Amino acid sequence: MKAKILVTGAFNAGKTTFIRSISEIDPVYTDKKMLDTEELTTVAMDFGRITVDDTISLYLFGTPGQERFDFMWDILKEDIIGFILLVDSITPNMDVTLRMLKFFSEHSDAPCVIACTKQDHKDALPVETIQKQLNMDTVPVLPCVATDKVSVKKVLLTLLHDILEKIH
Amino acid sequence: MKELITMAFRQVRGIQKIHLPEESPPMFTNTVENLREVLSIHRVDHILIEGNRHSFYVMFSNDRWIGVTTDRNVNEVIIRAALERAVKFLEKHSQVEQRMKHIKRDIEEYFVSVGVDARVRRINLSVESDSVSGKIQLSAREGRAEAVKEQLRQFLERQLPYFIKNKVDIIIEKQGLLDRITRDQLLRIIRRVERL
Repeated sequence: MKAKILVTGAFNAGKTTFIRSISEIDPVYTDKKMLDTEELTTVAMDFGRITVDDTISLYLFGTPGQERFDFMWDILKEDIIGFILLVDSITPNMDVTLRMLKFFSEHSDAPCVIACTKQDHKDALPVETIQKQLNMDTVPVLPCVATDKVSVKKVLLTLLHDILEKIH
Repeated sequence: MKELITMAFRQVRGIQKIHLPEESPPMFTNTVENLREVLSIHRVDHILIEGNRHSFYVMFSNDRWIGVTTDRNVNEVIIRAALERAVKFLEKHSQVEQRMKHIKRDIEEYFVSVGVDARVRRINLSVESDSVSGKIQLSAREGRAEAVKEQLRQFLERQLPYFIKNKVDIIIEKQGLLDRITRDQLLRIIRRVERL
């Protein structure tokens, strides 16, 4: 059985790092250097795995952050059991974040958690501020440091427990 | 069951009465069973008894038998062919009954083998004399309902013998979270993530 969780969020929210922190395998990256800044950006999807036993594996799929790859959302949303929406706490791109939240909430019955990344940065906005800007009180909003495995684990467990409640 | 047997004799003229174990008086049944014992010694599974005006023909198959009383002038070959047809019908009927016991598993295995992403939610089928009727409820991805329905129709046609008149309603529901993961599977994932 392959359980699939989607890790999504606007450009530079930390999706690739998030998956890298928790995946037991070296994630499959599809990152390319951007022409203008030489920074890496994901152009198809990231992919990580956590093996439970011989029969069950949990897969983490990351969506590409750039708008021109939005068509991938429709493909990646298939069969997900939940999704994690990452928001960059330093420069949250609220338009894109809200658009993503709307898309996945409308096209999937999978539960969601919102993780505010880069919370270890001095310029990071407080979680409460981001939550207020999102105007979202039905979905758990959590602080997160995508480079920290414990922090990523906490977000993932929150989502898994949320899914558990839904299939009670 | 009677309809199924009658169907096998539809083309034969001069049939007086069809005898089946469940519809015959005990004395008649006992006589036929004794006859079976006698015939089995000679490794014979059928016999024709001719009277002045009527003939009686009985054929045995596994644990059941079919008898028929006909006019005296009906050709033995025709009667025998009809009885063989009736036995075949009965065998196929019991085959269908057997298949119905595992239909859920068979459908699920079929979907896996052809790569169809659908799950069986509920099956409520009953086997009648010449048909299988009822409802099969499935869940499938959005936009795949017609394709899944067609796949299942093809599968049922192959699974059910030709004389079965299929009256099965296939209902496709939208896939839900529970179709993708069970509580037990999720608990195992949670325990694994906690150990990371």
